[in-house]
Amino acid sequence: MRGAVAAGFRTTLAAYADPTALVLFAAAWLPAFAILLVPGSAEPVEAFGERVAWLAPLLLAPAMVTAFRLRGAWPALGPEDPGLVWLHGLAVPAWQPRLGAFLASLAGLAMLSVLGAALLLAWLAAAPGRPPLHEAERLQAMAPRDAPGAPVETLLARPGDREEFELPATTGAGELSLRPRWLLGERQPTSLLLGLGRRGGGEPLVLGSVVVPDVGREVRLPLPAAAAEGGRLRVVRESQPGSRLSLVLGELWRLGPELGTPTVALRVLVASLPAALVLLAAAWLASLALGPALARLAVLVLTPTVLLLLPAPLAGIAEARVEAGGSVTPWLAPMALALAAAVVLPRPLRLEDEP
Amino acid sequence: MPEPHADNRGAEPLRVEGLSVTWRSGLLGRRLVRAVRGLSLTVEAGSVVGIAGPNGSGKSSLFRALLGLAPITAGSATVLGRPAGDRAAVARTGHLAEGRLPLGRLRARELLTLSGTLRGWPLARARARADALLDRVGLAAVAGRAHGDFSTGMARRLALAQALYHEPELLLLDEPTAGMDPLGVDLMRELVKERAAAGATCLVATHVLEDFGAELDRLVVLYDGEVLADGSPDDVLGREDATSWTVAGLDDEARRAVEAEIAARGGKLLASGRPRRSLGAWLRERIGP
Repeated sequence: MRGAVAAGFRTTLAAYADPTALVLFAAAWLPAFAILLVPGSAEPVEAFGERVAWLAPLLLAPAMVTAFRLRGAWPALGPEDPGLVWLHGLAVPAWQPRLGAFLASLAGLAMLSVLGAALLLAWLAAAPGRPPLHEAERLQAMAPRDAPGAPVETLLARPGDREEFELPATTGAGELSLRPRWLLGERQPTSLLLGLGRRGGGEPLVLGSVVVPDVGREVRLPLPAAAAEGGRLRVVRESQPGSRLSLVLGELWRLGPELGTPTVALRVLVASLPAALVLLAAAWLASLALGPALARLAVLVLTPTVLLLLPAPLAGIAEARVEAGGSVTPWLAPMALALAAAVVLPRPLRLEDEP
Repeated sequence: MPEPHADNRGAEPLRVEGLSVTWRSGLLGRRLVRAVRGLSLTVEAGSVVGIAGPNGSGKSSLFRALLGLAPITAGSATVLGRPAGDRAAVARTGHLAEGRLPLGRLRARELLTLSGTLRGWPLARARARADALLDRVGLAAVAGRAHGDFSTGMARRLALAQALYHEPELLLLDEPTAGMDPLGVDLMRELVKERAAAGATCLVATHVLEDFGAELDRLVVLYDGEVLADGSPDDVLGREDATSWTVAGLDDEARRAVEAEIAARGGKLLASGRPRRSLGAWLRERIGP
């Protein structure tokens, strides 16, 4: 058994050394990656985030290419595939080399993705005048009340009520998000004044004021570079009394002053891998038992269903997208996966008169 | 190479009794195809048996049933002492199927090596066997080319090498000479003879009997899934009521004299003349076997 699995693995993995495969991979992967992670020079963060959310499924293109290569290198995927007859003639259970081929395809996908990321980052670094990578990193910000043994949660009910958060140091300008939680009472837009008490004890830094709308949603506040050293964030209610408002500190974004580290790029990449693996696994499992047409149908229906029911494969990519400044559109990736799987499953066979 | 199972060593290579192969075809499986109908056949070890018949007579279906690739709906088949389709029996059988081998992007050497490593052979042994066979079937010069780019004849040679790779005890060759040039046909014939001399049993499905005429110990003719005739090629096909010579060294005058003598003795000359040399003979002379 090990011999057949290893043979399938080795043969499939060897397909990735094929120059055609590498070119195809680069052609599919690098543009997708570049479109996703390189903002325009004057592009606002919000617009970039929206774009990322819509285009994130493009990262699945490499999975499609990989699956195409898998099919080409190892066509014994369907129960009516000629490769199956060949394997039977060798007295080898088909699942063994298939398993090896599947594992090799995963390994190949991972290797090529990392290689692609490295190449892209090297290219970006070398290209003068390129806008910087959007580097966003969620930092841990903790409100005092979240600390162990902290007093009861503070509520902003009257003008002058104050909430404080501990802001970690960052490396430059950034963006802070606050998530309001309205408690009982009538909601109305509420103005908040924000300031930063510096760690060194200097003059407090006035960050400005924001209006929390009556419909609860995230509020974003730009942080100047002067706030980079961190400190104690003070949020004071300015408006007239109204319903009581509780604040939760959301993500703290940090914008890189120059080309970012590969952290985010690799994170998005790694986050996209589970989705790609699910694609390949679904294609592989479906092809074990079903004919090409049924397998296509099953994957088309089942893949998005499974992905939506089991958030784990999506969590990573959603998280990465959020970190890259975008919002989550959970149906896009499953649909893209399903379409990709439907396309890359074994082609219809030219059946002869005999089985 | 696979060791024969101790309990099956020397077992009858093939015994088929009342075999029927049937399956459903067409949209929603509404068409019932009866490819083989109640076929019985016993084959002795070391013999070369031709399975002849027109297209659709059940030759390929019989082979597929013996390998477990087509459903046996009635009767039974025993291959090398094991039930048809049994993996141990398949492992000791070489099958040259119609069409090309899969994995066309692999080089010829890679494909043959793969068929060894898939069987669990060490890589070095699999490579050595692949090289030896590629040399034997005349493909050594193109061993590094993707076999999907091979011509039909080259692909058949590679398929033959694949079928012989593990020195099988039973060879099932399905239209082995289809698309082959005369030298390829010679090679195929030669290799079948070699395997038979080594004790292997060979079943050759063909409708071009001339390719294997002299090598066949027995001829089974199928028609519509049933055995139409079974026996030695002479018994099955009989002999023409004519005598043929192939004589060299006669000039036209001598030839006319021989023809006159035939007529004088009451014979009727059906054909005479100097036939064109065959392409096979010409190729053998020019580029060798």
